[in-house]
Amino acid sequence: MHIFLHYVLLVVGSALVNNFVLNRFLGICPFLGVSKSTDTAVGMGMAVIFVMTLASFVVWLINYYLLLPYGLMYLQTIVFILVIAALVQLVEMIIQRVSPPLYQALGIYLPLITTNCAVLGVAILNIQLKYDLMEACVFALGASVGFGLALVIFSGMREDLELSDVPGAFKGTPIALITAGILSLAFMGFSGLVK
Amino acid sequence: MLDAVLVIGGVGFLAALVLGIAAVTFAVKPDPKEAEILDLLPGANCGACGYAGCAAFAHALVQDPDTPMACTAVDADTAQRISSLLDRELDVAGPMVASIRCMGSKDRAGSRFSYVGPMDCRAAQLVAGGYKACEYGCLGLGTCEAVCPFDAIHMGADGLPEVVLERCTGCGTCVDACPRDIIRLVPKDALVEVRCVSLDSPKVMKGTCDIGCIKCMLCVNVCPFDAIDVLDNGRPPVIDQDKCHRCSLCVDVCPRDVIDIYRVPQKVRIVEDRCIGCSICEQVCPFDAISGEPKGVYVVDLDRCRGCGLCVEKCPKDAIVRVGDA
Repeated sequence: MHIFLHYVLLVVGSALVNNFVLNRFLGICPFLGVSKSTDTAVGMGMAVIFVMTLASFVVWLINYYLLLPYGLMYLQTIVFILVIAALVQLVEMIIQRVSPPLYQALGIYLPLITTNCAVLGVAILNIQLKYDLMEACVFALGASVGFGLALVIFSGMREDLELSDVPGAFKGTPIALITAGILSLAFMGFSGLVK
Repeated sequence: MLDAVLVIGGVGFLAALVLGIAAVTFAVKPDPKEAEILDLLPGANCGACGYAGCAAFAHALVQDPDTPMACTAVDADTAQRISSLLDRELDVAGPMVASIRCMGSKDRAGSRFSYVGPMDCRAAQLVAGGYKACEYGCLGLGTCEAVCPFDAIHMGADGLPEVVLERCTGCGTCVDACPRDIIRLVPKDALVEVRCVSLDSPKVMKGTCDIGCIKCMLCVNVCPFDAIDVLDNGRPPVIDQDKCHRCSLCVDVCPRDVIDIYRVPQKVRIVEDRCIGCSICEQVCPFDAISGEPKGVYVVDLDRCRGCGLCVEKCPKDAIVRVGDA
């Protein structure tokens, strides 16, 4: 029971309190780029949850069973990028064959995740925070859920913005960035929830 | 050092191996029909069909039976082959080209004031409704030339744009860019146009433009095909390109020379050994250009024939052909 509570706190902490997008500024580009409609935002969120959790799992194994024993920690970045890119590619191939509708829905967003800093960020944070394998996966799950949550909320706001009377100078990206800032402010309310 | 090389190389090699195996195992074979249609499409990925590219359009054609033949760049023959591949009838819109409906060049239509600002029609239009004396005419600053993605519009020395018909794809970019709505799309093979959009009365027109339409309605009355419509009072007549047979009668009758024909059709002749003397052609010819005795062989008076082709359509024996054809 105690360990379960620990995992719950880990998820709440990474999803809400230290939200990847709104607090750590990771994965800003898909956050702004893929948030024009809620449908694509949900698709992107799902893809990120899947890839981030899987990548954390694989990368953790590589780090502790390959890099650490040989004292090659300085290769962290390049190996992680290599593994994540290959993993995304593999997932893309499998999805294309197994589930064409999902492949269609994810579209360009799946390959975009390859170089997403949020995915690399969570992999490196897992190592820096010295999480064990289970913790790393749970942390990645929470972080990616947080990413998806921020994305979906933000896309909903942007859909409403499309219909509202925005002053000419603010139309488009400026009002999107201002909205993102206010959303970030709102998420500050979670700070202190988990120590 | 060696460790590092081995680890990176090993991880890279392993990843490549797994991906290679996956690429073979999970290969997705594209629909052969789709590939065939993609070959027939122009492959320019211009987006005029509304899809992301030719491949996406081919996919839509195969997957969704309601997809219309939205490609503007295929010819009728190719469209026919695509529709036979799909086993369904496709409505094909013929190729369109931009038509510039103003002949008020610099020397024919004056200016109200001298404009010094950005050399862009859209900007010039914002300054007191444009500097041109005629408030409907071409401003001549070449915005259509600048926006044309196919380099198919060039500004002539007279300050009016000219469309290069061979290059124009009918994409409509210039139509949207023109602040005065002077450009419209017309079928490429049907090009007789009243090249004026002015709503000015003849009296005002006298002071503004030497060539603009004065709404005399001579063309409307002379047209044997009822192809020239008067949409409402004060607007120059518009030629219905579906009805027009390009006889160019209106071109000749226009007192202001503002009706233009881009491609004069060939006149017709009668193939003697096919003619059975039924006299249908004589009856349909609006120009009395065909004469002869019933049951005899009819002949076309080339001085009177205007190449409208009505007789070619009506002849039950296909005995009438264009002069250039065999």
